Amino acid sequence: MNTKKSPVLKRLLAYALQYKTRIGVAIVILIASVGAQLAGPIIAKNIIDKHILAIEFAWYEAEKSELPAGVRFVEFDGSVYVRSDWIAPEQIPGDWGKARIYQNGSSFYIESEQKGRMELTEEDVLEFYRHDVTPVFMMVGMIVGLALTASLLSFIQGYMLQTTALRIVQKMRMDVMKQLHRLPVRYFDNTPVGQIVSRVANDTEAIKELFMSFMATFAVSGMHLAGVFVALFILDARLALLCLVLLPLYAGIMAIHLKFSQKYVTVIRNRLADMNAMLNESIAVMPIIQAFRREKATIREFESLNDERYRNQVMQFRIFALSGRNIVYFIGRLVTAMVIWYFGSESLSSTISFGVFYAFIDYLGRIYEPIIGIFDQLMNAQRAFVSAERVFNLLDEEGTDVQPVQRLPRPEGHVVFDRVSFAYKEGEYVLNNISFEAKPGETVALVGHTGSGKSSIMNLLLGFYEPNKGEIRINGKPIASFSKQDLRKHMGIVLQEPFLFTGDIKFNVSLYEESIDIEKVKSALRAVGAEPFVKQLPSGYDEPVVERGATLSAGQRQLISFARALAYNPAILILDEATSSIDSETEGIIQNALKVLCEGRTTFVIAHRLSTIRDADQILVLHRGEIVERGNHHELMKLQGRYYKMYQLQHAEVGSSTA
Amino acid sequence: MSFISKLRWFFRQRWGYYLATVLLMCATSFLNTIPPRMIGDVIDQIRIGSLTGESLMKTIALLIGLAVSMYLMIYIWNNTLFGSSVLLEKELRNRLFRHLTWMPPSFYHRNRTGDLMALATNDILAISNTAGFGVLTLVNTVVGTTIVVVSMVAFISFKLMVAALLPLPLLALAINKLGKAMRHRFMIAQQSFGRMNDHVLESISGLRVLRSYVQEEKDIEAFDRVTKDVMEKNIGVAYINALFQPAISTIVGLSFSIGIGYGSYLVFHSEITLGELVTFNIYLGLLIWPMIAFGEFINILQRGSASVDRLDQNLRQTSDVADAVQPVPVAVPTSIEMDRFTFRYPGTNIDVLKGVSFRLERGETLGIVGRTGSGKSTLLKQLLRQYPLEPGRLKISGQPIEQIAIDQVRSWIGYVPQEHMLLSKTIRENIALGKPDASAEELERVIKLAALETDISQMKDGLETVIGEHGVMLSGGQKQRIAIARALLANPEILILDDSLSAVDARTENAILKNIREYREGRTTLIATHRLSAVSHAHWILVLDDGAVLEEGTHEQLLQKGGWYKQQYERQQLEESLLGDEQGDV
Repeated sequence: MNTKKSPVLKRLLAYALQYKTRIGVAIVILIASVGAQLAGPIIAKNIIDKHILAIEFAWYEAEKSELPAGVRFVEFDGSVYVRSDWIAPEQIPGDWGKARIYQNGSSFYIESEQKGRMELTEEDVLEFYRHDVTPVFMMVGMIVGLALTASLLSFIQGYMLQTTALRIVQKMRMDVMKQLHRLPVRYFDNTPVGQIVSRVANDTEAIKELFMSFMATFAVSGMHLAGVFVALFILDARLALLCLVLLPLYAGIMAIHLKFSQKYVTVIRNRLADMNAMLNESIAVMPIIQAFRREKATIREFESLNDERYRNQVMQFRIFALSGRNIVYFIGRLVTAMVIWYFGSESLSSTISFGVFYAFIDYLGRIYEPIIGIFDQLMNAQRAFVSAERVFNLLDEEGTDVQPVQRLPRPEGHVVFDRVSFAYKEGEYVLNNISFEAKPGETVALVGHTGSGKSSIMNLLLGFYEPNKGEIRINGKPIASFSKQDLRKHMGIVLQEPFLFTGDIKFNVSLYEESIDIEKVKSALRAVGAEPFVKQLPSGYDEPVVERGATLSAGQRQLISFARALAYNPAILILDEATSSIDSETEGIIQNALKVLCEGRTTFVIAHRLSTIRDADQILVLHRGEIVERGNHHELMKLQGRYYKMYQLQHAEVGSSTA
Repeated sequence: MSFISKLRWFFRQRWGYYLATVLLMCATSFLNTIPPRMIGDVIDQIRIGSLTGESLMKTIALLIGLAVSMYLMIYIWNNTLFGSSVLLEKELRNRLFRHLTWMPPSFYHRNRTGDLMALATNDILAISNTAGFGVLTLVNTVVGTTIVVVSMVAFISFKLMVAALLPLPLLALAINKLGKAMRHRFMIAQQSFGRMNDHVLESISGLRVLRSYVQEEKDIEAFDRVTKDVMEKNIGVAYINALFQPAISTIVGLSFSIGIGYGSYLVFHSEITLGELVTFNIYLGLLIWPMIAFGEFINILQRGSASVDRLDQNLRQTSDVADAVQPVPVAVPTSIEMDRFTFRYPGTNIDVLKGVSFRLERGETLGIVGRTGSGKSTLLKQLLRQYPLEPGRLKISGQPIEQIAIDQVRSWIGYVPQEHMLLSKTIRENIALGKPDASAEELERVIKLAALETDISQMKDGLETVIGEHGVMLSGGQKQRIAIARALLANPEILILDDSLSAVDARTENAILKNIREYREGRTTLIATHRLSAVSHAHWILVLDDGAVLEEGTHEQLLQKGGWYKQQYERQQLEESLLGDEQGDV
């Protein structure tokens, strides 16, 4: 799989790059948002170092009258005190006495050169902090402001990145759909429908998850990590360098974790899929399981699958508990200990910045969740790659582009089959040397049993398959010379099982064709005799049609598909007569509709009820892929061959009143 | 709390594990509050200059010790907790499956396959999630929050705690609300996704129609609208999704700001020290996850409870076919007798069998014919005890069938259903279902009897060929013959063929029937069929019409009678002569 991975990745990337501007803008916003979020601890550091701890800075004891204008001061015990950061060093007269404030236990003391040591009351301490209150509140205001800005920016980028991922997948889905219409009919014969639907829907959904999680987790978490480390380097490069060891360490743990859990996760998923399949099947064949008293054996089989999943889940949780979130935080706690040791031992030999100390602890606390997030997503990414590979394989299948229809004049409908042979599977011919001619306006009926080749003739005429030998000509031109779309433009088809789409009645007549307006729909339905029943439906022509038209009777579905064919006014009509039983009243309507349909066009009828084709101009009797008899009804009856026998059989059937 | 009461059996079985989990979680929550205090202490010690190299090393050693013991404790409770949750998943799934194997057909009419599948996957996973992750979030919220809050009050400041915690309940509220909105929008997006699925399905199923009417481009345009709708609905989800992070960071940011702002104020007032302020802010960080979790917990619990109710409601359904309480021992079915037998399916009010009577001695063959829906299958199914029946009307060896153990009755029967009902396993495994310990010779014999020899020898993998989607596609006739071989392998006292040769051509059918007649000399066979030639050798033939016996007798008697049977027989003979040379397996 690894060898195929890089093209898959490349192709996924190519999809993403179609939106590179949006992604670029979003990433810039993301960086700004991370910056705003990470500014908080730096401000907190300044609050600590420049204000809370500022009371321990050097103080000068001065006379009030000597103070330069605008310099902040604190009055205490009859003297005026100025903190060293309130006044420029060159402004300090040499005769000012020095003082310092320090804490011992819970009490503060001031020690000045002139007055000696005094204990400060709480009010005194507050007085010394007098000028720090406003700046601290302003800085806290900044933190709040930054948090709000960060939130807003993070919303914008999150929304932008996710919508981009959705756009990419929509594009991909359209590409798959376009591909489906390019693929030859043969492809669909060999591929189960469910599998194709799964490609378009589920596999692209897995890819969507990949893009979404990439956008939401990888990009954001990665940026956060980067931001934290930038901040750490600004604060203390030496310690930050030490902390940098964390990244390869976590990466290593992740790799080991994935390697070990992959095995279990695969089994866990597969067994669940197996159990679902088994459950589904068991429900279907339950009568057999019970009749053959295999309940216990079946339960045993199911429970062994279930048990295997369980055992792997237990193992997976063991690994999870060992090397998942738990170890991320375990290492985090060790790092905290290291940071304390670093600052603590540093403080023994020199002074340290408490603000940096605080900010370090705060920042380090922010890297674990992003790391865990990346951890979780890596597991899913693997799966999405398999899906992507399947989708790309489908896109790589060979097909024919859908051609725009040229405005060719309506052909007269002269159809010739010239020694046509055809096989679905190589060597197994279902049509042998078929030749016939249909003159414009004629009705040609095809008769024969299942597998005699009737449907294959229709499939070839519509260009769904190519003949292996021989040629089909329409108006003297071989059909291979037309694009599929031009070929079919003037053909109409009515299938044995009329296919109705979800929508309403009028949509099922006109399909997407705009030139067929509601009046044409109505007149087509009227002409085939469907008007009475359509009008009786609660919403008439707008009556919703559910999946496959399940709420309509077989006869009604048939009539709607007749109306569809009529509305398109094809020069050549192909009609596969329904086999399903239709009540006699509808049967009569359908017989009339058929007459209306065939008028003025070349019609091919695949007939199951021989009574419907008595008036056909030509009847071709097929047997094992060959035409064994041909002629009109009277000629064939006179022949007393297969047609005659078949006709008699059906006659007997009607007489005996059985199904 | 229906969740706990309906799963009482499980919690009773695992209470030790749950107790250990909760205790260990309490312990880790408590230990988790120590390092922040130590950080604060170190800061204060450095400030007042009381920190020594020795005390620092002690602190570090303690921190490492804490990290290691927390790691171990978390490892243990992770395993006890999630071990319980996956065990629950396993047990529930086993229960459900066992339940399903005991349920009669009427159960399957009431419960659609899709719903049962949803029960086995979604619902059971939701329950397991509640019993694992749900418990984790609950304990974490209650215990974690309590310990942190108590520590804040005890070691730092009550006022600061109240002020800084004010915004945090908003977090639980926001997560809960957003979670709900998210699920709501997600459902809408799923519906849109479903419509897209349907569109693809129709585009493929209606491919020939679309292509014949040259609607490919238009269909692509329509699909574009559908996928755009999916995209828009998902953008709706993304909108909420993108709100989560900002909502969390706004509220958390607010809380931290209060912590540091009001905390500084308290430092200025000498009420707390700088070290305590730092400790407090780290404590605040410890509360975020429990708050987020609590918002989710409500949703998890709701889902889990709903799933438990659904599952419980299903498991409560009982079989409407009761086994005999004191079964009468019957060694061999010497006769089968129906006496004015009437039957309707449970929950319906139409009789599908009306006063049917017959008597069949051991070794005889009964033929049942009649048009579709006349009750042939229903009659045969009575012997399988799939439905509740009127007592005393169906007797085996003179004993009412409901007084014989169901298992005993089924042990006599080999059943070949209308739909072949094969498993997606190898042909060998499918045939061996009839008798799992059958010898190779036995297997070979039934394969010959079912006229499968040539078919199997032509397959690349022979008997090991896998049937079904991933295996070789077999023809309908082949599948039916496998089903027959399966029943013959059991060498049953009573063989039931329910229209089980419909897809086999007449010549092969006759050969198989002849094999069966010879092989099963002395044992009883019941055959329902559309093809009358299949029952011409039967000792007695019932012609059913609308659940009642229309005609009965031997083949010759029925032909003489000149009724439905004769008409149908002649028609079929004519058809046979016409198709004889061309119909193979369909």
